[in-house]
Amino acid sequence: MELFGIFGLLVFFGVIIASLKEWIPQDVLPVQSALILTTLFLVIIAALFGSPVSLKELSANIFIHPITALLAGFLVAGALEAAGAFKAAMDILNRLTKTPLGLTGTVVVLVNMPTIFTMPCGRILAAALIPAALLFGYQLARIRKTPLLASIVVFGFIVNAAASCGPSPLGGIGTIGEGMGGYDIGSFANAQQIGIIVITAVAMFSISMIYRILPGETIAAEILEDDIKKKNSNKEEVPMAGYFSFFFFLIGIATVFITKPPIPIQTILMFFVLVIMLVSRVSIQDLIGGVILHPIMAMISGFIMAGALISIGSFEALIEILTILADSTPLGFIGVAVILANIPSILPMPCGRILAAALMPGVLLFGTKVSEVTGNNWATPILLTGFILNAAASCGPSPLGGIGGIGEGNLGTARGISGKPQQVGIMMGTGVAVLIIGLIGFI
Amino acid sequence: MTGTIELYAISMGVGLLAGAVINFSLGYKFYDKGGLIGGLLVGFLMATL
Repeated sequence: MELFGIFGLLVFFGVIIASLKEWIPQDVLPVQSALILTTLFLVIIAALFGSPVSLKELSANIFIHPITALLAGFLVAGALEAAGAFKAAMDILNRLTKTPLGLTGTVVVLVNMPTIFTMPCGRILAAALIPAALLFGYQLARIRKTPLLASIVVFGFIVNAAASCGPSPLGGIGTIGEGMGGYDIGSFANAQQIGIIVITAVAMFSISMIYRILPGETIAAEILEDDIKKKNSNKEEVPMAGYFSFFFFLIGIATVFITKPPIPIQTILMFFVLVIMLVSRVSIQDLIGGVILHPIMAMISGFIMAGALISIGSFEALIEILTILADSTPLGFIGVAVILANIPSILPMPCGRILAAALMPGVLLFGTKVSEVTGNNWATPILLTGFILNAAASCGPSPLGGIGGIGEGNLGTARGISGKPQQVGIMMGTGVAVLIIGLIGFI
Repeated sequence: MTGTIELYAISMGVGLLAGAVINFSLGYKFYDKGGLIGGLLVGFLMATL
């Protein structure tokens, strides 16, 4: 086993754990920057020990497709936001409460809405629809005089939003694994979406029955006060262009999935942007406003880190360590695969793309190894799907500015308190997603 | 075609179960029709989109 490879792995996981524990202060050195510095450190050490790493080797692992798809996805999101499509979604939700769905049915739709839309980053819809989650959560809590219900709705919505970037065809985390493994775009998406329904329901159930996260005192008092009507009366007028953009996007993306046209997704997305721009008079500035740098930087830093780890033989070392673990412990290959798939939510980073991009080559290699040992040809996509879904959802429970923080801030709870129920949900949902691929294959 | 039927069946089935779990979590009876229809709708939309 290459000693330098093991050293690289130790440094990588050391930096991840130190960031997570905030031994590396995140306001001074965010984890993305820390990983770039770690790459530089490994490159220098490799050069000093006589096995220099070239720039070509480092950049060879930067996959352009998910990056450009992510950028195009952000432009679509920017156009939708500016056109008022998300306001239209909130208005439609309000109208749904007057149908047989009632308030509970509307809440079920609302908390799952991010995964129906599947934006390239969960933060887009988390920010756009959190007012709706608060409104419906407060309303339910008032009706039943139980402030806990507001937390259940908000954190259900939050974990769903966090995980929704996994199955997104707009440059979601799934596209990294599908591209690397040579699978068709969207192959892992349906299993992930079903897994996310489970993640959401289990997280809500565990908050209700086990963790009982109550909103902060002032928020709880506010919930029980009669000010919901005031909030409702401040409703904004939704422009017709908002409804058009909302339905155009939904129908357009459904058509793309059903017909599978032989056109790159980026081109299709840019067509969506053009149509929405023309109809809704959205400016270029609005589009640029939709771009969130955080996940782009997370993915690039992960890719560069992976390039360094590949160059110094860390993935060969990882596979050897995992194989020894599988052979010499009762875990076996399946047990080790389960642990590997759940690593992202055990070490939840502020963006799932960090660990997804950095570890994906290793997961792919180990999947191939499990496939050889067990004789199951589906072992690789099973492991990849589980790992991707787990990574995508892991930004929800991350204490380092994860999406959970949006809900915690709005409900005035302690920081990081929503992590555990989300992790429980993610663990269950990951299991369901891999079960679907294992039993039925790609659906 | 078989794949499509399976997708809708699983998606809506899991949606229905999730609807029941959410009903229960929100303090309603697990068979409250709103949550169950909502779950079915979510499963249908996810399978379609």
